[in-house]
Amino acid sequence: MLRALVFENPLLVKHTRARLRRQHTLPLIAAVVMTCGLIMWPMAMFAEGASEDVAGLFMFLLVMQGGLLLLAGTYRVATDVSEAQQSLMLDFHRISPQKPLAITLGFLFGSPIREYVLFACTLPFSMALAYAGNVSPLSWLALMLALISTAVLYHSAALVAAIALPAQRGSAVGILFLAFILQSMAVPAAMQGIPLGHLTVIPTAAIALDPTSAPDLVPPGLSPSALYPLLLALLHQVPLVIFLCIAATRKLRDDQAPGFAKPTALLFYVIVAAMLAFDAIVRPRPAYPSDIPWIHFSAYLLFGAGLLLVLISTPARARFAKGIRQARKLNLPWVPPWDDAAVNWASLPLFALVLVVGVVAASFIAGPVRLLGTHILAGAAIAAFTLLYFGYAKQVFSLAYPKNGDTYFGLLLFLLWVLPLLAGFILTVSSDFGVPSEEILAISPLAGIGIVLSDPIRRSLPTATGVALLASIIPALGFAWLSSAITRRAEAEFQPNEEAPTV
Amino acid sequence: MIHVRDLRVDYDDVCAVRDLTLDIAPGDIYGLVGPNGAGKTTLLRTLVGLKDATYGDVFLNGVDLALERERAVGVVGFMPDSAPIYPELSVWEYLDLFAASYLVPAADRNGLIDDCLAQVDLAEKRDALTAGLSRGMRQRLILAKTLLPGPVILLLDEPASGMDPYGRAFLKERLRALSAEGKTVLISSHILSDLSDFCTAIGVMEKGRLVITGAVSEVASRVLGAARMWAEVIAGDDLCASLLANDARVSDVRREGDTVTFAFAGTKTDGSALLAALVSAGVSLASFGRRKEDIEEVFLKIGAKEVS
Repeated sequence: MLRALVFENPLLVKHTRARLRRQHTLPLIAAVVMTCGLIMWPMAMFAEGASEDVAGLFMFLLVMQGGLLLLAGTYRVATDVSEAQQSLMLDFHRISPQKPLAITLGFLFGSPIREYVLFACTLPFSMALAYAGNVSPLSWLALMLALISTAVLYHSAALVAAIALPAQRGSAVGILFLAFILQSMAVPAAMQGIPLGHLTVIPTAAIALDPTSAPDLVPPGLSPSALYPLLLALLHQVPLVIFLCIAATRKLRDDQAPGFAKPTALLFYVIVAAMLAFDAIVRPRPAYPSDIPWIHFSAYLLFGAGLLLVLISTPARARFAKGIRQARKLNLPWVPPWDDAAVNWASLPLFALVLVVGVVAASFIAGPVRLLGTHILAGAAIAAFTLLYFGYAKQVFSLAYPKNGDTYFGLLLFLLWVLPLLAGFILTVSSDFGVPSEEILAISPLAGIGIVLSDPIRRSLPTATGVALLASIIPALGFAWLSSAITRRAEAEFQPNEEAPTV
Repeated sequence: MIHVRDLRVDYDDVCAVRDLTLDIAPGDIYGLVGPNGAGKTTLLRTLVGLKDATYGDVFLNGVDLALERERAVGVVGFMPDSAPIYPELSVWEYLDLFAASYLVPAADRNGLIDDCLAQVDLAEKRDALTAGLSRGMRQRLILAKTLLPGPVILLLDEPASGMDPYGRAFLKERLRALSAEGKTVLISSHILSDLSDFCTAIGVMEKGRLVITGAVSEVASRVLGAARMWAEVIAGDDLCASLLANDARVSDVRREGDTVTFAFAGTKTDGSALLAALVSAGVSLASFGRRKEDIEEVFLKIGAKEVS
């Protein structure tokens, strides 16, 4: 099994042959070695014991290593898979007896193989700089492992994006942009107690280079070792990589299938919620001025992840029709609710439940007692009802309007989510910031969730909370009813065509 | 070899293949024709497991595609319309990649690859980069890749597109040879004249339906009516015309110089008997024959909705 997946993986062999040809690789290796030498060169001029200056050079080399693995590697995976998808080469792999997981691993580790080799060439220089810069061997090792695991995470994301968005060659740029945002936001977010850095190499690098930064990153009582942020990074990154590989493998088995089956999507959601709860426990709290950013972060992260997973697991009309026809052929009374083709009627409440439990748990674990209150429940409820109507509306529009459903759905979101934001903003600006427009802003869940969760600080906005609740509950009930009606109508519509073939 | 029953395939709000039933026997070369968007490529992609059927049954070499996809597809070689290559690989490396993907033991790969390259007349390009191959050569390379795992069923989507006349002639010869080996070939093509030369059966698809299928001669006779025959007369043209006029199976007799053409509603044996009758009656003939079935004419006639 391991031999087929790794050592004799045909795609790994293919990439090794294609990307490590001597005439292309040797000049690149020479360029990398010379650059590393250039970075090390000032070290000869430093006075003995100027370890801080050497650490600066180490940091410079680290940026170059990150550029190789995180930027060039991610770009390579995305472009390789996009090209294979567009040329229909992936179809050749799909119909071969090769396991889809082997194809996933072949692209994931094969496409950036040249970048890994170039990265390996930088290691001796990095090690030497670490030694001279007083970076302990353990910290250096932790840092390199964090770099590799973060690279694998970005490469997996690029792989999935390139398969799922076959027409978009820009998927590489999109992933790189997200990676850049993550890296840039990691430090400011960490200062607010938000652990975005777990998806980056920054916390491990911070402690490796400057153990005095530990109080912000390591809970009191633990020694300031770079192993701790590495462990946290692995705990966050490994599940994400596993689920991204599941999605890629599923799409490589059947390009029409959604990335996640409904049970997998739910499991993934539960794991994201559990990771948030875990973060709430382990985050070193005393350094932060307020827990409100953390509570907002938890709620919006779970809300956003929920929207994405619901979108993935809501069947389009064609898949729904196929499910109905297949069920009828098999004499089943209905499509099993966990099937890809089943409407999201049954799965949506489960997503909403995970959202509520996740937000409440992450907030209650993290927040001091004075912050606990009905506003957390209200905020979580608004997010959950919004998730419900988002999913039911998506199902309604995809079943009722096969051609323009997405446009109508987009229009609905514009009306309910964007327009109140614009109206509230215009009202606030036109009154020279004198008229509080929270009630209008709260109609949009994008603002409403945050407004309600901030209630204990503002202590004056019961109307906004009421508006936000109503603006989520009423559409949820309406679209739940509509979804049920449209589903029944669609079920009656899709009959197996029993006409005799015209042959 | 290929059995399809009541197959339906849907895309979003479009039914690409509708209630299609088809049987292709071992050794047959089945030509699938139809206008763009008729559902030919979707049918081929469904047969190879790349597109799920909404419902219906597909059996490949007796194996149910829905129940044992890997085993069913394992006997199939698929050649898509485009010729996907990895431009950075050499011809040999490209074939080695797929030989390994098809689980051919490493020790056997070299010989197998050389054999496949010889079959498609690409042996001299063994070490060339695939990026440097012409379109026709790429098609031949894909054919070699298709033949690698020793499939018993070949699904070829527009295999001759981009090939020069030599390549087309070569392809025809290869397909005939493969058919003689007992392999079943399903080929979709727009180059209709190619198909009539070597297909044993054809099917015409339109709007997802297989509107007519059968042996080429049978389909031609059903669509075009009686076969058109000709007799090139050296002497006795009046006698020839009168004999033909008195035969109930003959109609629409026309004289064009020395040649008499006529519609003949009989079998090939009947045609042979008619020839014998003409000769024994004293008509001197330079040539006599049945016009070759023209798939293009069949296709155009069906396209013109002249077949119900």
